[in-house]
Amino acid sequence: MNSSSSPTAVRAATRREFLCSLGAVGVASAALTALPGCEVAQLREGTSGEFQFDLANPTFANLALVGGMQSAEALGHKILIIRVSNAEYVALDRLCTHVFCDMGPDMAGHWDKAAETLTCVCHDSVFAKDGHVLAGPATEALTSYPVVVTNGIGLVTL
Amino acid sequence: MSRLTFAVVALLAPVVLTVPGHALPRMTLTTGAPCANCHVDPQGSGLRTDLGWYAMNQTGAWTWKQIGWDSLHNLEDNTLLDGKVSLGLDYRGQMARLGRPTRGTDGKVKLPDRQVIPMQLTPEIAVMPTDTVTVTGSMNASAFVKSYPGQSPWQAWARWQPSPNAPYVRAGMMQPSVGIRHDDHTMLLRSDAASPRQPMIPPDYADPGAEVGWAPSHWLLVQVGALLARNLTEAVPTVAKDEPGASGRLALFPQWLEAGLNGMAGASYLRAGDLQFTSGYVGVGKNYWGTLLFEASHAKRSAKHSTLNMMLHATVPVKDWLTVEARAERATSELGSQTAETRALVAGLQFEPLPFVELRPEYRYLVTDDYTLGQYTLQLHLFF
Repeated sequence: MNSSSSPTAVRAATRREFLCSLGAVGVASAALTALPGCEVAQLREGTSGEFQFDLANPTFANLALVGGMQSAEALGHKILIIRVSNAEYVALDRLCTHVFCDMGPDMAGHWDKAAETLTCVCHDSVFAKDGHVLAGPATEALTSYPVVVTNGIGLVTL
Repeated sequence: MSRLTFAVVALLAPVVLTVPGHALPRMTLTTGAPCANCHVDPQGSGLRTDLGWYAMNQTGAWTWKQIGWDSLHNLEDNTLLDGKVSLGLDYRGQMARLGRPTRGTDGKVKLPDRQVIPMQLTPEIAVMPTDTVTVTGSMNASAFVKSYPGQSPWQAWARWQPSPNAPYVRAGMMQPSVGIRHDDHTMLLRSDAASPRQPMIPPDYADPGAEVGWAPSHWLLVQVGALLARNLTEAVPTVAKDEPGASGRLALFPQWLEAGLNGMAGASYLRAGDLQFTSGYVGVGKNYWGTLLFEASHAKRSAKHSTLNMMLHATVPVKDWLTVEARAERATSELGSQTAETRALVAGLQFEPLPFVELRPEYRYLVTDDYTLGQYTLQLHLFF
């Protein structure tokens, strides 16, 4: 057997080639991750103001009963309005603070009327009616907005 | 335009202007073989057949022998007991920035932290006690840490097919045959623009069900199934628990042999409770040239909630073990008077340094109504 066909010789040469190539891939990967300028982060945030809703409007029919929830979008905010009791309504940010699942009524939100808690069924985070975290994996509270309802007209201060 | 700029643009053009395929559509479009030729699951993904295993054992920039791992190189197949038992494994881990940008205490918008996420660790087995019966099961260890609502940590089903050209029946805990089962769980096709992290049909979704399938010729596959919604309820709350559902898929695999072209086209429908999920796709590919695939899906989640998602997806092979890929996606959602839109551009490489090892460096650009996030990601896929 000549040296060029020796398994050992072949293995040694190709291992070197392999390691060199791995190094090249590593350098290329490092170069890629060293391009922070190509990574982009922008936010479109809501603005302050007031959002009015009419309980007689069919859009808000979910709020006719205690325990009902309704999604709404206002001034760039995605909010969830919940009728906690006959006279008490709360408005919370609708996106779970864990991985931003939408907690709308036909999405990932489940309101427990008796316990007055909002569960995100995506990963089972639980929030109190004022937005604070009762159970993780979420660690940040949901932003809560004041709601006043007078004569069937609700006003959320964002 | 300077020579350097021209060279850079020329190099990047295939990445930006073409769209990527993932394993399954790319494989079918370049070889003309339906998914079931290489995967035990007729919808593709997961445990590989003898042919699928052998094909991947030949794919790599280097062989295991070349790096001194002769025992792996000398493996002949993934079966035991005279071919009656097949074994497989899929591991996927991804390094990515999870979540979305946030505003720091200094008022500046920050990228989310980069994390390494184990997405899948799935041992798979198939037992073929006779030529007509296959019993298969898999368990995704990483799904025990709930990643998506509706995900099932395990799947197991049995299939009976009296002869290769006869219809088959399969039943068990399985994913109904709907659209194309891509291996990238971030694709928007099965998602909702209002909440891209909540796919309607998540990766590893499975429910108790049964399906009849028939491929009367090599270019036609018809599948009709029924399911009992258990996990689907978590993903789409308008589907009641234990509500029965039905699915159907028609898949065509036309070939134009003189031109060397392979095609795929199909349509599928899934209904359970208020959810109606319709999907359609059409693609064309040529070996050593590349593939182009368009896919769209429409979902009616409730009387006032619907989604419409689209994807254009292409691959260009550079070598057997290196493929350039890119895709463009758009997802829209309507919920009453509210609308949402999410768009994504993804470009990257599928690099197989060794058989059964795949690296996917990618650049991902996601634009939602709430934020924009552009990031590099790296996925490692080890499989057998």
